[in-house]
Amino acid sequence: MLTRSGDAAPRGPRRPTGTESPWALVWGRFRHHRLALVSGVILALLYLSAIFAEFLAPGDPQAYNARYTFAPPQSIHLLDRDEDGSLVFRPYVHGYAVTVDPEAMRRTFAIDPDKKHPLRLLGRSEPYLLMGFIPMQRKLLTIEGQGTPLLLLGADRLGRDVLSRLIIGTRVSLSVGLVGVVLSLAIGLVVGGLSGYHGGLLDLVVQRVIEFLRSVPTIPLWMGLAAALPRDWPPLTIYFAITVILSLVGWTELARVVRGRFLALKTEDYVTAARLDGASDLSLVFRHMMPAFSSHIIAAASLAIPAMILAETSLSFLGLGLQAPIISWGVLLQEAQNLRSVATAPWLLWPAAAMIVAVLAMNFLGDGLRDAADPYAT
Amino acid sequence: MTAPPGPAPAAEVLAIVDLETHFPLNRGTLKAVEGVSLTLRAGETLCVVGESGSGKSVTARSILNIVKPGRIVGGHIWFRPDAVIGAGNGNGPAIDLCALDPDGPRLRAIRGARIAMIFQEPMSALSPMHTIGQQIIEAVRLHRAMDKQEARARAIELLRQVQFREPETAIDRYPFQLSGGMRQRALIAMALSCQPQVLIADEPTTALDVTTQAEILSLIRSLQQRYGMAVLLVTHDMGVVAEMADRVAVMQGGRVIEHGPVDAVFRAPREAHTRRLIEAARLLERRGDRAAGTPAGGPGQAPILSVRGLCLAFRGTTGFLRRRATAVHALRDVSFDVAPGEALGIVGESGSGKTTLARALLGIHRVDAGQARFRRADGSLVDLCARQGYADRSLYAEIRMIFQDPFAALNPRQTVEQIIAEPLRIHRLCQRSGIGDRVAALLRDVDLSADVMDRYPHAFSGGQRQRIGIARAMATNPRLVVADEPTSALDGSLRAQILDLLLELRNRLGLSIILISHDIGVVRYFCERMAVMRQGELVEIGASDQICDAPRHPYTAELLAAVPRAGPRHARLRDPDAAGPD
Repeated sequence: MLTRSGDAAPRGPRRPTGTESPWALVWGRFRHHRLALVSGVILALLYLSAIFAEFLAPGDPQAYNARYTFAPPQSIHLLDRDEDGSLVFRPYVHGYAVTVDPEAMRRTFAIDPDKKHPLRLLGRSEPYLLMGFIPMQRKLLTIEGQGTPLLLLGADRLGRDVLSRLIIGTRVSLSVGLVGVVLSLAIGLVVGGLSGYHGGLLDLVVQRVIEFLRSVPTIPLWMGLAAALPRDWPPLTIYFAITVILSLVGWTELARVVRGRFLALKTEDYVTAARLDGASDLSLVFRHMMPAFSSHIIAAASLAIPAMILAETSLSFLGLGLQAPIISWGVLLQEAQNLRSVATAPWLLWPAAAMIVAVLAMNFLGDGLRDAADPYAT
Repeated sequence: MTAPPGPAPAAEVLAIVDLETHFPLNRGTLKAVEGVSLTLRAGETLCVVGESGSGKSVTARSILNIVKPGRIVGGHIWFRPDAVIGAGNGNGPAIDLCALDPDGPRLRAIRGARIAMIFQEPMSALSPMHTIGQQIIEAVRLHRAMDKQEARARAIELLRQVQFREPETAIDRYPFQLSGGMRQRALIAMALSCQPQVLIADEPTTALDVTTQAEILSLIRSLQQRYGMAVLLVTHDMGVVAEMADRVAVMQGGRVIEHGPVDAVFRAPREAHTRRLIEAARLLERRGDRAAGTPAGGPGQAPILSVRGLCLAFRGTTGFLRRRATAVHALRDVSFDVAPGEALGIVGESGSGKTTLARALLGIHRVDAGQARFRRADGSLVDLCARQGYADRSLYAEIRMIFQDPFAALNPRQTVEQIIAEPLRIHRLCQRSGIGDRVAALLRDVDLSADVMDRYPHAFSGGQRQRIGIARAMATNPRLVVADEPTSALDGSLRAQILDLLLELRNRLGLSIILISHDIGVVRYFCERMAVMRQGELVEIGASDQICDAPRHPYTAELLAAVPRAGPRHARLRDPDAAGPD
C-alpha cells in the first residue's frame, strides 16, 4: 500500500515521475539481479562466438592429422626470453615430442621445451567463409610455422582440434534451442491463447491433448521420430527436422503458460473496462492482454531454451540426432562415449562443460527475467 | 470501559517514544514513521487515524516489529506487562520492544500472548488449509500448556465469546466457508486466546459491510471491558473513531499531528487536516448539493432505462463423487425505472447482488429472465440483457461504467492518454489529431492537470486514478453511467471529493447515474431515489430522504442504524451505563 502511494514514487531530476515505460521498469528491476546480469553477459559472449565461430576457431574443425591422435592441450606462454636474457611479451606454445611405444603401438606425447611456436593475433590463415558467405583470410589466433598444430584444448581420436570443433559446435547447439523455442512459442501462443481466451469445450479438448502429449515419455518419443528421418537427407534438413521434433513436445509447456495468463487476465477489471469501451476481441487480446504477459512469455521462453539444448545434446549423444559431419556439442560428446578415450583424453569432455555453463546461464537469466517480469506486482 | 474519569491516571501499558521506521526503496528510503510518540493506558482505546500512506499501520506494526522489509531505525517502545487499570504507573520493569530481536524468543513470547493483533483482511491472516478450530487451538497451545481436549474446549468457549452461532460446529469450518465478518470474529477469538493486555486492531472493519462493521466494533468494545484490555485501533474512518475512541491520535506524513481525548478533538480540532477528516465524515450524513440535478422533464417523462423482472442465478456443481447442482440466486425478479437525468442509488451488503445487477446491465453477465429496456439517443428501445443487446457496439458509448477498484481498472501498461483515448478511438468520436486536446479537456473536467497525459497509472494515488476512470467514462458523452462502488476503495476525505465531482459532472451533462454502494450515507448524499437490495431482491425503493427518515423495511432500518456517525455524541455502541462525557 505504501509503496504504491504517490509519496513513495522515486523522485529524481531525470524525467517527470511516472513516465517510465513498463519496459524501463522491467529493466530497472532486472538490473538488481546480479547473477542474471552476469549470465546475460556470458550468453551474449556465447552467441557472439557462435556467430563469429570461423574467425575465433584457430583451426579447421574437420582437418584431421593421425600424428596427433589424443594429443594433450598445449598451454600458452605469454612471456619469452630474448637472446640477451630479458623478458619480452611474445606469446608462444611448445611443440610436441612424440614417442611411440613399439609394443602397445601407443603414442605418448610430451612437451618439447626446445620447440617454440610463436602465436600471432589476427594473423593470416587459409581463406575461409565467415558465416558461410564473407570471405576472410585472417583469424583471431594463428600459429607460425607450417604444419605445426595449435591444440589449445587437445585433439580427439582423429587428431582434430577440440577447441575449433567446440567453437563451431556452439553455433548449432545454441541455435537449435532458439529455433526450437521460436517454433514452440508460435504453436504455444496460438493454441494456448485460443484455449485460454475462448475457454469452454475448446479449452477442454486442448488441455486433454496437452496432457496426453506430456504423459508420453520424451526420450522414446524423440527416438521414434528421429529414427523415422530418412538417413539420406542432407545435414541441414536433418537439423531442421530435429528442431521441429523438439518443439513438437516443447510447445505444451508454453501453451499452458499462455493459457494461464489469459485466464487470469480475462477477469481483470481493466480488460473488462476495455471491453466496455467497445474494443473488439482482437484489440482486447493484442492491445490489452498480450502486453501484460509478453515479459512473462520471454521469461518462460528463456527457461525453455536450455531444455531444448539439453534435448538436442541427448539425442545427438545417443546417435539419433545430428550426425557428423555436422558439429554440435552433442555430436562432440559422442567421442566421449567410450570410457577408455575419456580416460586417456579427458579434454574430450570440454563440450559438456560448455553446455553446463550455457544451460546454467540461461536458467539464471530466465529466473532474473521472471522475477522482473511484472513491474506492477507488489 | 472507558478511561476512568478520576484524577488518578491509568497505568501506561505501552509507551511509544520517538519511533522511526524506514522502508528501503529502489532509490533512497521511505520514512514511513518519523518520530512518533504515543502512550496507551491500560483498559483504554486509542484510535490512530489518518489517510492511507500516513504511517498509521506501520506504527501499529512496529509495536510487534513486523514491518519487513522495513526497519525500526530509532526510538523506543516501552511495554509494561504488569500495568493494570486504576493503578499508578506499574512498578515492574518495562521492556523496550524495539531492542528485542525481531525473530527472537523474547519477542515471540510477547506476540500473541501479551500483545495480540488483528488485521484488515481476515482471509489472508487465516490459513486456508486449516479449520479455524485448528488455528485457534494452535494459538492457545503455543503459549499455554494445555492438552488437545482442554484447548478445544477453550477454543469453543472463545468462539462463543465472539458470538459465533453454534460454536461447537463452527469450530470445524474452514475460513472460506465463513463470511468476512465471521472470519474477523475467528481472528479476534484467536487474538484473545491468551487474554492479552493489548489488542492492536489494524483497520479491522474496513473490508466489511456497515452492518457487520457495527457488530464487530461493538464486539471489540464488550470484550475490552470483559478482559480490561487496552485497544489500539487503526482506522481511516472518523465515524469509527467517534464510536470507539477514548483518545485519538491523528497522523499525517509519518507524524502525529494532533492527539487528545476524543471529545476535545472532535469539538475543537487544532489542525486543519483533522478538521478536514471530520468534515469529510460528516458530509455523508446529509444530502449533497443535488438540487440542480432534479430530472429535467420531471417524473412524467419516459424512463431512460426500464428494468423488468431480472433473474440471474450462478449455477455450479459441488461434491466430487456425488455431484449436486447448486445455484446462487444473485438477482430475483428485480424491477425499477431510471428517469432521464436521475441518479438512482442501489444499496445493500456484499452478496446482495448489486454488482451482479450492474454487470448484467452492461452485458457482462447473461440473465436467466427479464429485460432492461434502454431508450437510445435516437429514441429507439433496446434490451440490454438480450443476447444481442450489445451487438451494436456504439451502445457502449451511451452506457459507461465506473469501476470500484481504481488500481485494477486502469491498464498499467498504457499511459493516461492511451487509456482515456481508447473509447474515443474505438467509437471514432474525434479526429486523430484532436484526441490530445479532447483528453486534456476531459482531464481538466476531473480536476487533473493536462500534463499528466504521458504518465502511467502507477504514478497516481487512488483518488487520482478514480478521476482518470471517471474521465474515461465521460469521454464518450454517455447518457447513462453505472458507477459500481466508485468510492469504497478510497479514504473518507477523498470519497466526498469524488462524489462532488460526479455530482457536478452529472448536473452539467444531464447524465442518468446508477450508483451502487454498500454505504447508505454515500447513496443519500448522491441520489434522489434509492433502492435497497437484499439477497438478490429489491426490498424497498423510493425517494432517498424518505427512506432514510422513515424506512419501511426492517432491513433498511438496520442498515441505517449501523452507519457510524462522525461525532462522539451520536455514538450508540457505547454502553449506556458507561458514563460518557455527555
